[in-house]
Amino acid sequence: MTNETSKSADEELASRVWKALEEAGLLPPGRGERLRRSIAEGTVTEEEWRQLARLGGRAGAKQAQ
Amino acid sequence: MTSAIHSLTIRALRGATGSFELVFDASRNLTIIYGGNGTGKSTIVDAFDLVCNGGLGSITHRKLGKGRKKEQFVPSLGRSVAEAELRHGPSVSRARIQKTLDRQPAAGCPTAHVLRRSELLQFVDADPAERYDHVARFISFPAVARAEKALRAAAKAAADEYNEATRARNQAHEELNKYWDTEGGPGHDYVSWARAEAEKPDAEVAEAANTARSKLQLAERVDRALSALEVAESQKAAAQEQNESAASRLRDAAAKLTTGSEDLATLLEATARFLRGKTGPTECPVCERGGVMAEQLAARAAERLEGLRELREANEAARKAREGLARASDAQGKAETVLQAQVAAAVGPLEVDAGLPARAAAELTKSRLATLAAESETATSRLNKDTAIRQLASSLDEKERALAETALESNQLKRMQTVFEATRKAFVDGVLDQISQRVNTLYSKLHPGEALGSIRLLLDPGQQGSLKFESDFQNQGPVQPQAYFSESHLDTLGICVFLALAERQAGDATVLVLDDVFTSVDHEHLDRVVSLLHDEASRFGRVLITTHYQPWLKRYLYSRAAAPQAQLVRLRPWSFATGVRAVTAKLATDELRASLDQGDPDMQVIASKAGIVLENILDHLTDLYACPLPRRSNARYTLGELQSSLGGKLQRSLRLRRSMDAQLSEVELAAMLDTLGSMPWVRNEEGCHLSLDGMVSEVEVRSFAENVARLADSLTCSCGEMPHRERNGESWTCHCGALELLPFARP
Repeated sequence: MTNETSKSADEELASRVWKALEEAGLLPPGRGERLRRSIAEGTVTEEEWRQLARLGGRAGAKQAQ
Repeated sequence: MTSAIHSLTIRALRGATGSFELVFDASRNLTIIYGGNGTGKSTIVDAFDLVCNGGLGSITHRKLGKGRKKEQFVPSLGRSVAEAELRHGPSVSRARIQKTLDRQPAAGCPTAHVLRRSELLQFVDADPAERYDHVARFISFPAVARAEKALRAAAKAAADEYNEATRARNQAHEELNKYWDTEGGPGHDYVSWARAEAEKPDAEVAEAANTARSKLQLAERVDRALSALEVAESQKAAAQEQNESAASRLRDAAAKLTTGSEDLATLLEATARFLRGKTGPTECPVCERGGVMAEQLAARAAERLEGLRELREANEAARKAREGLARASDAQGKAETVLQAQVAAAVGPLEVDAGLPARAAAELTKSRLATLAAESETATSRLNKDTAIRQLASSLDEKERALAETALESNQLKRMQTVFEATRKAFVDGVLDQISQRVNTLYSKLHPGEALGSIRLLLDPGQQGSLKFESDFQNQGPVQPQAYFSESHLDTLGICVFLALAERQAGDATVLVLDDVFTSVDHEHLDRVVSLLHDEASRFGRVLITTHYQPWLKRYLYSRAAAPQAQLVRLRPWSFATGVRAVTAKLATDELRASLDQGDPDMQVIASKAGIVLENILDHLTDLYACPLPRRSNARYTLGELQSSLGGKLQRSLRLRRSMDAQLSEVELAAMLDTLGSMPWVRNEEGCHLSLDGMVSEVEVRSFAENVARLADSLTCSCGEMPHRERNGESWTCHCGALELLPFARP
């Protein structure tokens, strides 16, 4: 697989993952394109995921209230 | 798709002993290279592999001796340098081998997907792990995998924190419950009790603990001072006894000697020091008498000193004993002072009678030590317990809050992980489904209605990096194809898998190369293979097929396949001196016309060629309309037999319908066939047999050939095919559908 092919596969899967996370209401608002790119480039860190989870969790809890 | 690959040039590479150039037709993506065994087909494929992939081609998997570099076998025999150049777009990619490979791919250098006969079953026959490696490149996503790994680590860290928060919260509750129990379970429950306890002022308990601790410390200091005094007293008694004993010994020693002995000893010692190191005659240091021998005088002084030693030792011992007694007395005095100070400090707080002597007060205090220690421990323990309850009670809310936060984060991350994994798995399954479906589509094109197929590629959930390969067989399944399929069906399955995988990377910059993979395909399957590969050509920058299978080439030459879509190359016989040579293969009708156009035409050649072209047309028509022919094992028929089997009824009803620029035109074939029906003797007389009484004129030969060429032109579409595909049970049509042959069935 060429680097280009691998990159486009990463891009496609990253978009799907991001969309699935968003549709499941697991992302805080306003974390769209940057997160999708971080997933596609594999640069999203453990701490960033945790921060997203905290923010997403709080936003979800607030919405539930 | 337009081909951006212009030409391939090979020098001294494998069978190309000289220089060989293959120029590709830019208007056709499909190149068919036909050649017998050993004409250089694999050499051309190897050159592609070398330039495009840096591969060593067909020798890659051959055993050529342990430790020997295979690069040395790439140049032609007797040559040391092999070169290949591929012109593509505006660039030239090069590869050169002189012991080692020097590859210089230019920008846009295509990737070649090469399948050789020997590699046909590499996917089908591979074990699940090897099979996985073939598709891993399509289902591995390195960057997204890193993101998922980070998410997994985050979920684990959050779960660990949640577990720790749970443990801390539970431990606080258990401890409070325990304290509550030891207090006899007061109040409604341990939590409300603990909160109430935490609200109480704690100064009184702390004060009590401090008081008890300082009383104990005072008593301990008195105890230590008393112990120190007792030790000092004991040491003084021992020093006194030692002093008395030394004095007695000194008296005894002195009694043994005369008066002045001590002074004499002092004088003798001084004499000995004076004489130390002197030799020979000297002067007496006391009387100044000369001629005294120094050694003798020193020896005598030493002798007399020995006699006085006991007195001197006793004297020294007595002095030391006196000093020791003085020190012991001093220490005892100090110890008494310390004790008095400690007792003075303690009597008040410990409520000891201040009138008692220090010693007695100290003894009394010592006797209360154990009680004071117990009181201090009890008070401290009470304080610690109160502090613990206070801290636990006040931390309950914090622990509950931390637990709730970590639970929220951990659950959120778990859900994110689940969604991520499910999406990735669905995506991978989707890719495998797409590949499977494509394999099925391709396979069913080659084997329609054969109750084979439903090929499935599945990840083995029990094994990492393992790919299962299943299919149906005779509508039963799943089965392993390699266990039930015939060799030829496995071959075509291997090709379909290869094509399906290659298609996923298809594009202008990819070349599909099939090196003699179809060795023996029957008539029916060959048409399907040709049709399939024509379809594939549109997906790649170029499709290059080599074959030694002559029927394949003849399909094109005799308009049974769409020749204009394919570049046809025929390799000439190979020799070491000439190397690989190629010519463009000509269609049979083109060759016939070329013969007719020659200035000095060979009538025998023209009659022969025209006869073969006519045979091809009649064979095609009689086959299409299932015309009756005499049963013959070799299925070879004369022109006359073929013509008469068409029958007058069919001949009269045959017509061609051509659509061009939205205009329909129809031509009846009856007249042309009638004319030719009376001419087979021309071919037989002039083109086939010895005829010493030859009566065939050049005009007759020319007329026969021109009529055949006209019929061939009429029956062949510009797409290169004679109609042979069924159209809705109404007519036969060509590859592009522009030319129809009617009727559909024999009337």
